[in-house]
Amino acid sequence: MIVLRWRFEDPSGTVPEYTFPRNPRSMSTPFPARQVQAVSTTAPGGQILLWEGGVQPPDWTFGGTIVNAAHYAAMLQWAYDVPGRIFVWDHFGRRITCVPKGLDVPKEAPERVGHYWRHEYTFRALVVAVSSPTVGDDGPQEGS
Amino acid sequence: MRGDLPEGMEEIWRSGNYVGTDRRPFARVTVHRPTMQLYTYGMTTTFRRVAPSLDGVAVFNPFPQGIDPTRGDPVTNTYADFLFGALHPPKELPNVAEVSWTRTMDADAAQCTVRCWNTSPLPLGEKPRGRELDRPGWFTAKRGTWQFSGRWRHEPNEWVDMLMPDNVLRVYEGYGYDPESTPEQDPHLTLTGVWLIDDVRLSALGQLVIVCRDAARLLLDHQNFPPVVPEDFYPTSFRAWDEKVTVQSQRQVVRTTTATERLKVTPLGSGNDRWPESAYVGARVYGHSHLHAFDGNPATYWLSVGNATPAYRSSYEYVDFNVHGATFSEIRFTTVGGGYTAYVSMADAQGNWRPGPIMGYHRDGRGRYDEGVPYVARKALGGSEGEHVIRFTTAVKGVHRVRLWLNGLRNFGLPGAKYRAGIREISVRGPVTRTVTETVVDQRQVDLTPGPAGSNPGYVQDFTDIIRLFLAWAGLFWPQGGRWLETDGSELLLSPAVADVEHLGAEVNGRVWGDLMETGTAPLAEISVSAFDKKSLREGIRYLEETIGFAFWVDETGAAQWRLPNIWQRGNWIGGLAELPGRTSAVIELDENQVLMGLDATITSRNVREGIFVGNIPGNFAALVGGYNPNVTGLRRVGGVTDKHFASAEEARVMADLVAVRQMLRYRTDQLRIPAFPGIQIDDQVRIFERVTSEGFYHYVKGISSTNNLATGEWTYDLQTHWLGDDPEGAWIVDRTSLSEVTRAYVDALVERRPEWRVEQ
Repeated sequence: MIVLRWRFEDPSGTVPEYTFPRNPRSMSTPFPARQVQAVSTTAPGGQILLWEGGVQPPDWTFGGTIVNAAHYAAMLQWAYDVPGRIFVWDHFGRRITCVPKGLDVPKEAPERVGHYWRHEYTFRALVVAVSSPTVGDDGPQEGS
Repeated sequence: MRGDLPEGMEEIWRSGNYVGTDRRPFARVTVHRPTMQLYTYGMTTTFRRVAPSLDGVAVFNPFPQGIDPTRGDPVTNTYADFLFGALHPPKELPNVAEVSWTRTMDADAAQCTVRCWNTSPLPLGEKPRGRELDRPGWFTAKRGTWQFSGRWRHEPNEWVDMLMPDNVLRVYEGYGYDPESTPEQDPHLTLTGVWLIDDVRLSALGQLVIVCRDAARLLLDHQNFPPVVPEDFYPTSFRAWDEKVTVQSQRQVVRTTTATERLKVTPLGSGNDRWPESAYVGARVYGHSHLHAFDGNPATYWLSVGNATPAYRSSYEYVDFNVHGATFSEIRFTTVGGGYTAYVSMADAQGNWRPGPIMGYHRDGRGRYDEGVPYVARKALGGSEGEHVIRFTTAVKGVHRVRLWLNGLRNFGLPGAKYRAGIREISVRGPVTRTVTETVVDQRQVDLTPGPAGSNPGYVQDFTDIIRLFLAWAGLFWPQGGRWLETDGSELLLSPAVADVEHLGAEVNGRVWGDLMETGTAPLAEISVSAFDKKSLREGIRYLEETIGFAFWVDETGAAQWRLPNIWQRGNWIGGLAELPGRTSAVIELDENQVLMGLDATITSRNVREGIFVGNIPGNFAALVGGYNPNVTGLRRVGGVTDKHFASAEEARVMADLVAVRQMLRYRTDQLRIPAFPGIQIDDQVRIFERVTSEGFYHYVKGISSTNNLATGEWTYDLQTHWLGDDPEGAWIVDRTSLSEVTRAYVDALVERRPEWRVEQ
């Protein structure tokens, strides 16, 4: 099966595009939660008043496994050194416009020969916009 | 009560469902740079102010027949427009986080606070500067214009001159929004305020807080002083037209006068002319000519030929002159020496002597003069040399030649015949009639002809005229052709249908931006300069509010509202820019089951008086009425007022009743919170239902505080109210039976009034 690789893109073109060597294993929703509050009127059984506020940019995370030192360096660079907004293209072909907030790479397992840089990571960002997916039910097509 | 709300807004408000793009609370804010436009009019008063009379009392010359544009004093008035003269379209302010405002009867101006974020997204594709995220400080005034702006590579942007004090915000709020529409055209929103920026507070962390007040700020910032007050109107004092004034008027009087004056005569000659050897016509005797008797110089004189003795019958000498037929009444002459006897003979144009006794002259072989000449007057002159007068009791008419004889000649001591006559001056006087035109100044007390307050400094026909002038001077003049620019560059035409020439002046092409009600009365006594001078125009209006009992505020459209508080009759005014302004009996209900989020009621006896008296200062009369108190405990609190202007017991009773009503209104007050609804305005009546506080009364809305938090979506109104009495089912809003008949008639007359709306029906 063809898998669409995740990649980072700098809208300003300052930093060259980076394609993930391995896609993240998990991600939180990039969509904002609706700001809805409920208040009741003073009467017992009175009408419930529902308010909806403006959409707040959601905190977004995705994570997976860093496979080598180059992968680690790239994730670190995109988390901290690329100013402004970046595009994250995911496996659905969605362009997720976000502002990186940080990268967590905790040490949780002993080093293994040949996989010295293998660590789990979590990338944190604030999502500004999400475009529509480009991948259909049959998955990505050749050349996509 | 607003009559121009977006369709469906009340339904959404009552539903309690404020979720979704079409229903969630929203606020959009525009900002623009206003430009004050001044309109100067040269007009004419309906009276003429003339110089003070010598006793220092100013007098006026009115035109009782009405305004005569060709007469009266020229007067210049300048009105100011701050709201319709913007040169550039507004811009919509993004990033708004919260809009809150408070509009209350107790404050001189409403206040608004807008919180927003002072940053702008960096357009995708542009390179960030350093580690800067987006464009912080993007809305800071003058950003990029300072000498040091290059330090951050800041350059001027389209917001350079926008978020600055004195610029104008317009706030549009409602339920739901249309991102494709401009704020002005957004079908979900309505204008909830026009605000003048007072403060712009910027924080390094990117918060931007804009504090504003409504257009009443124009009245607070502008003092009652030139140039806001035109010179012809400064210092400002106001009086009614119904007083009597001292008037001067001029008229021309033609008078005929008759006086005795010197007449023109022409010398003809003398008896000397008959003696050519010693004299000839005009010739001189010892250097003396008959002309010397007419030259006006008493030092020269006519001298006759000589006679050997004065006793001869031929010893008469004479001078002839022509009076040209003039009517005369006397002949005056002075002689050289005295002792003569004078005779006067007169002849008509044909030389016929006027009848009378015959002169005693005879030639007797020695004389050469005419014998038999009659004379009409004779007078012995005595010994002195002074002036002699021969008067005719009846004025002489139709005479041409006059002969003045002298007899009784005197010795002049000259060689040859010594006895001669001498005359220094002769004049003829008679009645002269002359026609004289004189200017007579009359003074009288008359009524002035009322004219527009805008062209008659110091005179008003109604207290509301003062309000109009203050508003038009401050910046709330509304010119014909007025328009608001919108954010897309289009124009919203807001032009008065009719110019207010009746109040602002005959030449004016506009009116005041507002809905003003006539008070039906004018100052009983002059409101002197001290009430207004060098105070803010708002302070002057406050003075009138307290005097008249009217209320003033600025509404959501930035327009002035001046009217009787809406406490006398059930219902509400539908005003503003509603298509059909007017009165409605509808009152919005605030029900605990539907929209009431909280309520605090206060009942208080702090204002209760068991008795209220009103009288005049000398104590000739007074009225005492009972105050409202549902809890009779025997307390005996009495309050009252005396004033010299009360003219009758009936007037005092009206005042006492009105005080009692006001006191009753303060007995119960509420503070309540509801979801915001722009349909409710201050000066509205609402009816509230809440079980715990036993609230079911009609209330008067005297204050509204709105908080629209766009982050949480919560948009609420906090209302300050007082009740309108304890009989919500009664026909009247107050207990009519507690008022005197005179007071009921007074109030009935008041509630019949209606504001002069901006929108013509």
